[in-house]
Amino acid sequence: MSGRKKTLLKVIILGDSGVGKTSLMQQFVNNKFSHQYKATIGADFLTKEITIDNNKQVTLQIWDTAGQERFQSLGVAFYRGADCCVLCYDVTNEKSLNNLSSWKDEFLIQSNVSNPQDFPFIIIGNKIDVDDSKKIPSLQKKLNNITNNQLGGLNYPVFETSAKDSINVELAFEVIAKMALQQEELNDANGNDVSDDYNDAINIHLENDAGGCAC
Amino acid sequence: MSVKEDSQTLLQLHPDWVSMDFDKLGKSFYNNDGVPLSDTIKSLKAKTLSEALQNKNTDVLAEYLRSTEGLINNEFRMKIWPLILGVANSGDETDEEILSNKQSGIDSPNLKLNRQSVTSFLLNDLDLNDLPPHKDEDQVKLDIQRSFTVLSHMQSYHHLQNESFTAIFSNNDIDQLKKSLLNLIIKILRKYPCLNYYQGYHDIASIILIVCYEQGGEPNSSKNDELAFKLLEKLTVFHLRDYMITDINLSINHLKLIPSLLEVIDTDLFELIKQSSNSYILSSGFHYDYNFYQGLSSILTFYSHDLNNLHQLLIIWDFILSYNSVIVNVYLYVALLLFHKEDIFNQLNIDPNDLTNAEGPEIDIDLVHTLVSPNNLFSSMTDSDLNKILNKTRILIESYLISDIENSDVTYDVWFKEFNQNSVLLNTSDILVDRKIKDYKYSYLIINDQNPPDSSLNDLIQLQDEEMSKQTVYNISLQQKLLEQQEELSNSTSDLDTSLPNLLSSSITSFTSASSSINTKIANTSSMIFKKLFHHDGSPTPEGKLSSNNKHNVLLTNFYRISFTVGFIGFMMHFLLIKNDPSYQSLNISRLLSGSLSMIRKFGYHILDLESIKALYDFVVSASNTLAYEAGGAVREMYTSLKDSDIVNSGINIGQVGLGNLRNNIYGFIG
Repeated sequence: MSGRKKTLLKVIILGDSGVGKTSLMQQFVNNKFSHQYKATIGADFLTKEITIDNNKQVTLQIWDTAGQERFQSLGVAFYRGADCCVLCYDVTNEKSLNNLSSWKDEFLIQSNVSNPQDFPFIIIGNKIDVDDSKKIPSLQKKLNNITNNQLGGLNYPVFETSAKDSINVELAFEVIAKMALQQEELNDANGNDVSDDYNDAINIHLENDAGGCAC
Repeated sequence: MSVKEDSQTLLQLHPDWVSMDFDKLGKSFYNNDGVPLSDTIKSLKAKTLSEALQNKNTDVLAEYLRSTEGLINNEFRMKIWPLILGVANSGDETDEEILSNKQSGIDSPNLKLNRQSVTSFLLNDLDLNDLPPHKDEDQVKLDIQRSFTVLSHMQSYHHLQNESFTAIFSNNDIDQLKKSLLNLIIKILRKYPCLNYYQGYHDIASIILIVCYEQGGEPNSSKNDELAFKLLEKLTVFHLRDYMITDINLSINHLKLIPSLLEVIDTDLFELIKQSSNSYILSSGFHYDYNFYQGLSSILTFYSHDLNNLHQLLIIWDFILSYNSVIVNVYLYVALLLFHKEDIFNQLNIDPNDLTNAEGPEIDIDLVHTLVSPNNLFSSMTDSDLNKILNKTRILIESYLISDIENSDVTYDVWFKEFNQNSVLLNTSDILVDRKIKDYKYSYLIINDQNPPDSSLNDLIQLQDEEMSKQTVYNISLQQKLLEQQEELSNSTSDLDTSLPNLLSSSITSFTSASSSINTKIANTSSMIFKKLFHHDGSPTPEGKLSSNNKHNVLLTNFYRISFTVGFIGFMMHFLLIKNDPSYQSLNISRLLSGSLSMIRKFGYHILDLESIKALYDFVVSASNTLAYEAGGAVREMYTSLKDSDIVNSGINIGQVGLGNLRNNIYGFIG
């Protein structure tokens, strides 16, 4: 591999259908919001370059995914090489909150990250712009139960956002970028860079081929 | 009869029409230069369409649907789509003649029956509230909130060619359409509860609704709703069925046909897609699974999810419907890729010739994903581009019959002829079979007065589910072989310490990445099996004991975790299989089982009382037999010990066991 390339950080957004995954990505990348986003089928990504604390330039590659359970098994095609995973729920939808841990489990099974125990996840509760009366009753308590549960607890940073009114979205993605960068550096240090799996595989292949030719 | 022959017979059958049309209009109808029709020609075409409609010959009409700009407007579509889809059209005075016309082509008692059913359509008798809700209705509602974005998009453009769309759709119209859409989809799902709704089905339904939405007519005309229902019903049962079985992997099979066709049509694009695929990269070029996820939304929705230009989209639909087969979607995607080929390679800055060199170019995989995705393929597509692309599609369909292409013995034959014999591609949506014959032969799948609700479609879907499960098992064994090959390779290239623990851990490490895909597959299959088991279990639990019910509830609420646990058992099976050398096997079994046997016992205790254990046991045994006899033995042993186990621990939450023990076990292994 020649030199240090620009840092590309792969971020996967997961969560139930309709929690606002596409909206969050669009608000962060394009600073816009629409009620008209179509349901996502399959997965697609957008990229955005940002600068984090120590003037470090990174490119975030943000993967927006389908929320319907039916499409979950296709994740294996998209999750590989992820540096951070964003688990989203809708603050007005209790089921989406309860499903966070299964999204996490599913991600770990399919992504095959090298450090599942300390892989960076963050939790985003979206749609805080809606009327309080519609929100999940005693949300904070339920959230605490989920994040502090000893068995399978999701002890990760939590952000409450509004993709519609652009509240906390930038902030959340800044943290995401930092966590992803740490993960990337950790992988580099271990010489076990998951995101470079592809290139390594190709290189091994090519070296073998080249070796064959030289003989 | 091939498609080519089909159109040739057509020429023979209608010499007058052909000479009239092909001489005067033919060049512009079938032009290859891709120029949109002029207004004069358009009005001429409209006239000819009306005449063809009067003659009610579906073959002639099919030709028109394929010609430049398709059916021109929705008035024609409302009349011609039902004919082309073989939908008995109530309230239309031409029905009788159309049907008798059909009958001359094929002697069919069923068509007579259809005629009688026209007068009293089931829809009227079918009160939504009388039928139990479908399991996917919540998802439908979520998606409908986000539907008709195409229309909103259209309204932002003033230079539209077809102004009628912008003119008729106000916000009120859109609200009305959303209500109709919800009704439409829920009626279909409740009428055929065995179908699984998928995101994107609502896009399909919305296009049908738009076409049936009468300009300036009553906003909620029941006649139009009825037509929309019949069109969608036929399209669903005959053509979309593969996408609506339990397992999404049958849809993935359809997508695999895109690279399969490219392999024989355009090596450059094929190599590009192959070399940037997960399977190829992870196996260092040993294996390619033809998975092509980028086309998912286009194929599942007949492009309605991805193409915002409604005018163009409806021309595409005319084209697709004319062939009476969903496989046309696949050819169209190939034609789209071919159309953009130069641009794709330019953007990647790759010389296609380098791809087949030993030292191939470095491919930006993410960029490939973007470039071969529908968003890119449809961006800035002009009407003229579309004509060229559809012409190309037509040529591809005529030149490369999917069952005859050179690689079909390892692609299409395996995925469809061998494993999924009941796929729509081999019966109701077969491009080689005449639409009338299909209508006649499979009319029993549609529920109406003559076919009262029965289990025909349900049985077929179950059969298709079983077929797909078999393919999944096969795929796992295929991956297994691949892993073994890779193991041999890694063993021969690295100088390993022969002591067992080291060997074990090193091989585990080297398989970590490759095994995850297998693990995922096993987990998915297991969760599917579980879904089915519990689904069937729901009603017939004979004893209805309180304790049994409680356990059942625990199982259902912890469903994910159970699947996860089963996935882990699969994971273990995988390791057993890898290491089926006898000397390692005993070691492995004892190692693996000692760590997690208690967990499995607890898990097993909970499911013991249910009938499902028998089915699960049977499946695992048969599956493992297929995979390897040794592993089968191991699994049997495992379940025997499970069955004999006496541990009483009913208070334990399976989910926690699954999550806690399981994660420790897996990560203990991997780490």
